[in-house]
Amino acid sequence: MRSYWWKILAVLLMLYTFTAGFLTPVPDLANLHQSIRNFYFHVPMWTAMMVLFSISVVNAVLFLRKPNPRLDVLSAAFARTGVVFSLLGLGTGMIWAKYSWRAYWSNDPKQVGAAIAILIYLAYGVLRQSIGDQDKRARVSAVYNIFAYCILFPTLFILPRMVQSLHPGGLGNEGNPALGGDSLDPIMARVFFPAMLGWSLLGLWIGTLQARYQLLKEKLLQA
Amino acid sequence: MNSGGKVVMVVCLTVLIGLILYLVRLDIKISRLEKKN
Repeated sequence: MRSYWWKILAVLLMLYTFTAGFLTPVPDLANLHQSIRNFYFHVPMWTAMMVLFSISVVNAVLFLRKPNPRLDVLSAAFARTGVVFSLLGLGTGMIWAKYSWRAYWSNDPKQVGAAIAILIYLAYGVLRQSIGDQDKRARVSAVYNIFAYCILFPTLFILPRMVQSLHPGGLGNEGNPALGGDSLDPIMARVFFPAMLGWSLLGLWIGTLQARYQLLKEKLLQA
Repeated sequence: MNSGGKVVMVVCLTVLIGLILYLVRLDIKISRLEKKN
């Protein structure tokens, strides 16, 4: 956690995203126009969230296999950081929706799915606060973490693709610009994929700082 | 780019740079505490 090459990479990629994201030309699509630049922020924030929640659930599974307080701390820290990124993703999405869909909230299936997923992870935080005993808290929240992670897939990826949706990929609107191919403009791809990596590394950095701080705090309290 | 776009870009870059400086300082501080303990 103390090596720094990937932190330098995160900084460079983020600086690249924030400059190229505003300066490179974008396709002038109806309804979107320049707001399509939000694609470099909104989607990578959700990608970073998925990376962080994945790290969190891996640590939860490892904890259940072999209980180690350090794994519980890592799991919780990455879950918390993932929630922050999910709220950022939701916020940027709502701002984009106001511009392109004329309302902050349209009860779009992916919007509703995202809200449900965020509430489930917020409940994870509430669950952890409600259990006093450290071992019991770690075990119960590890199990809940696995459930919460599994719920992400139907709410964010499966159900929104099975029904009509304002988001790309819904029924009758197949295709996914986030997966490249013909759906994504090649100039946008040059900024988008580095942005996904940059935001994910940024999330990883914040998550590791959270975890290191918590571990340090527990070590000092025990001393 | 119109003037509004330039303002958005400058604000976003300022926030990003501020966040990066904050994370770097925090990382250094935590590293020092870890070495001490």
